[in-house]
Amino acid sequence: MAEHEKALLRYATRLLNDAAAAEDVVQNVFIKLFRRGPSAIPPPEQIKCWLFRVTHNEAIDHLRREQRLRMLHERHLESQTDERAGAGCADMSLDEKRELVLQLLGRLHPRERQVLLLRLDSGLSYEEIAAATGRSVGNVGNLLHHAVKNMARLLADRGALGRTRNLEHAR
Amino acid sequence: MRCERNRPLLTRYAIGDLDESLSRELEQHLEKCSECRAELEAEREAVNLLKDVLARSAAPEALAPERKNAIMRSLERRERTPLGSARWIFGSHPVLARAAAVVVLAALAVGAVIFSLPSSRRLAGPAADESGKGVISAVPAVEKKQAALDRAKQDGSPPLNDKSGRAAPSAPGAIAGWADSETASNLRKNGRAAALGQQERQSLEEEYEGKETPAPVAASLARDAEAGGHVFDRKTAREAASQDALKHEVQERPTTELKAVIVGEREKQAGDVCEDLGKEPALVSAAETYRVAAQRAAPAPAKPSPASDAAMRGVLANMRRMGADRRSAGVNASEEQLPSGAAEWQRRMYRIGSERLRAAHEARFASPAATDAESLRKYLEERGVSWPAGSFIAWDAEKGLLVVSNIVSNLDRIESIAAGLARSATGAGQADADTETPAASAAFEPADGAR
Repeated sequence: MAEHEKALLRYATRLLNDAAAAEDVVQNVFIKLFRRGPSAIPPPEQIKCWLFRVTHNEAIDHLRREQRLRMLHERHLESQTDERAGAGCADMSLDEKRELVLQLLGRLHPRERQVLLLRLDSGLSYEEIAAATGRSVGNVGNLLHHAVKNMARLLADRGALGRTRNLEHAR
Repeated sequence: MRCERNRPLLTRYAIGDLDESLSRELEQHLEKCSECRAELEAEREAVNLLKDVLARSAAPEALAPERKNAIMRSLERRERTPLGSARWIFGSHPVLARAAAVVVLAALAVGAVIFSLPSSRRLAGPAADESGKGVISAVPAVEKKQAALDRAKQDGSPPLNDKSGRAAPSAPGAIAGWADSETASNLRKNGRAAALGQQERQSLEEEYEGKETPAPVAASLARDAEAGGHVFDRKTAREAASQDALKHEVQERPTTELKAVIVGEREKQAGDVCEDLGKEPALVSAAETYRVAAQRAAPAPAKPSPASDAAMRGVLANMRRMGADRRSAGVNASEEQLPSGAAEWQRRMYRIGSERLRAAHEARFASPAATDAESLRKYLEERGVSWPAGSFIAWDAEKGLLVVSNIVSNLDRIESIAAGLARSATGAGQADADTETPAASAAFEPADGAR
C-alpha cells in the first residue's frame, strides 16, 4: 500500500491544494478500501485505478463540503491575481509562479484537473486514466487537450507565459 | 491534416505522448500552419511549466501515524460491528447505519441472556419503564440488563426464574441435542457450507424439514439470514459480543442457577469460560428454553380462519424458515407517534430476512395478503390485539421488516400469536410445545435490546 499511499497523497494534495485535507481524503479512501471486505477488494491489477478514482470522488466531496468557504477564498484570490495580471512572467518569482499555477489548476473543471494531474503528475497512462475515470481513451485525450488549452489560456491571461504573450503580440 | 482534428494531437505532442509516425505527420502540418504552431507553443510552455511546478511542489510522503492508527481502529470496528448488515437494513445513510450497528451489537451482547430467559420481558421490564417513552436505544438496553441483574441480586431472587416462581429448568452438565462434539463440529461445517450458497442452504433446510433443527445448524442458518452477505463480519461480531455476555452470566450466577443457552459456535466458548472461572458448566439446550417459553405463552389464540391464518403464516414461515431471529433495533420513534407519558409504549422491529433469502422463499411461503400491513393488523385485531391511537404497524416487503409500535401487553400478545402460528406451521398439527424447534421460536421474539 505504501506506493499507492504516496501517489494518492500527492494526487489529492494537487487536487485540493491542501496537504491536510489530502491526508483526510486518503485516510478515508483506505478505510473505504478495507471496509469492502476481502471478497470485494479490487484485484491487484485494478486497485491502482480504483484508488485514484475513489480519491478523486472523495476529494470532490471534500470540495463540495468546503464550497462556500472556497468560493469566498477564490474571490479573494481572483482580486489578488487580477492585480498581478499584466505584471509579466519575468517579474514573477519562482515561488509566485508556482503559487499561481497551483491556484489556476483549481480553476479548471474538476474532470480536466483530474486527467491533467493523473497524466502529468501521477504518470498514469491514457488507458489507466480511462479506467480510473470511467471514460474512453479518446475522451481522455480530448479532456486532456481542453485542460492544457485552458491552462495555457489562464496562464497567458496572467502573463505567466512569456513567449506566448510575445507570440500573441506579434500576431 | 485538418487543424481542428489536430488539436488533441497537439496536446499529446506537447506532452510527448504522440507516437513517431503521427509526430512526423503533425510536424509536416506544423511547418505550414502558423496557428497550430502558436497553439503548440502555448500548450508546450504550459505543460512544461505545469510539470516543473508539480515536480517541485511538496506533498506528504506518507500518512501521519495517527491517521494510520485511525484506519486500523476503523478496521477493528469493522470486524467487531455488523456495519454491513446495518447498512443493509438502513440503506447507505451513514448515521442510521452506524446507529443500527450499535444497536445490533448491543442486541448481540445481551443475546445469551435473551436466549436463556423464559421471558425476555422480565429482565428488562422494570428498566424499560424507567426509559420513558419506549424510545428504544441500545446502550440503555445493556444498562437495563445490568440494572435488572443488580436488582435481582438485591432481592435475593434468581432473576432467571420464570414468572410462576419455579426455577427455570436446567440440565447440569448436559448439552442436550449436541453433546457429541464431533457431530456438532460436522454440523457446524454443514452450517458453514450452507452459509456459502443458497442451494446448499436449501438442501440443508430440506434435510431438516419438519425435524428439530440441531442448534448449530439453526444458528448457522440464522447467521446466514442475518448476515445477508456479511457472514464474516456478523460471525465475528457475534462471537466477540457473546463472549462478554457469557462471561458475565457465568460470573454472576451460582452454578445451580447458571443457565447459559449456547447457540452454535458459542458452545465451546461457554465451556471455556466456565473452565476459566472454575465453574461446572450447567448448560441447557435451546430447545428446552423455548419449551418453557412456549408453556408460559398467553392462552391459545382463537381458532384463526384458514385464509387469514395462511396469510399470517406466510410471513411467519418466512421468518422461521430463514432462521431469521428476532432482531429489534433502535428505531427512533418520534414522540408525536407515541402518547406522552406512556412508558408502556414500545416499538419493536422484526427483521424477516435478507433480500436474497426472501426471494428464494417467496414463492413457497409468502402469500400476497401477507405483504399487506393492513391485513396483518386486522388479523391480529381479530385475535385480541388492540390498536390504540398512536399505535403503528408497517410491513416493508422490500426490506423484510415488520415494525410494530404498541403497548407492551399488545406486543406480547402479538408474539404469543406468532409463536402459536410458528408451532402449528412447524409441527404440522402437533401443537405440543415439546416439538417446537428452536428456530421456529427464535423466529419471532423481540430482542431485549429493544427494551
